[in-house]
Amino acid sequence: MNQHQEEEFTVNDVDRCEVPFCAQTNDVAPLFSADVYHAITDSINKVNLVDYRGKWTVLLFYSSDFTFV
Amino acid sequence: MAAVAALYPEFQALGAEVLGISTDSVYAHKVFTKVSPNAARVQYPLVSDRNQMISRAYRVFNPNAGAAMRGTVIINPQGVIKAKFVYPPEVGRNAFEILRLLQGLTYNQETGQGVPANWVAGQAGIVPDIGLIGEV
Repeated sequence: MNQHQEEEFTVNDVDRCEVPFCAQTNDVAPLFSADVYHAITDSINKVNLVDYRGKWTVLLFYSSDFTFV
Repeated sequence: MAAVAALYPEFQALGAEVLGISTDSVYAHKVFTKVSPNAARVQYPLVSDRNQMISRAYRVFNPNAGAAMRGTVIINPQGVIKAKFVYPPEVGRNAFEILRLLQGLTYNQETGQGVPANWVAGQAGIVPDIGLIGEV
């Protein structure tokens, strides 16, 4: 029996249902660690998103270097 | 990319950080910033999502292209996504709107006031008040 089928399934329980993760507004931003190039210092480092806690952060995804971005 | 770079000082003034992310290597990122006049203006860090894990997790990966779509994600200081939009490849981002959105979010955070449609920084917000119900 899944959560949808429990007898005492109230409006408060809806959020417990497993729904596909869509990375949308109000979802937790998945943490990541990756290589990063910083032109200002001409250096390659690791970046950890968790280090950006406490700050507003903007992620700009783009398709490819050397194109019209 | 370059459009946001042009406004980067204003993002910094808000205390916001910017990360560019593509599935290219950091080596490509370096050469890109050296040879492209637009990319040369990019002062913020460029993340290499070479294994596509980040683009996939943020649901902006285009499997046909093997690359990320033009997605913009704004994350609040607690680590929660507050806004996300994906533009088509044919049309570039509006850096002014990204800045306005951040200004609206921080304005709301500081004042508790609502931010109306087409609000720009410097304008008044809306104080939540039961008397306004049905009046605006």
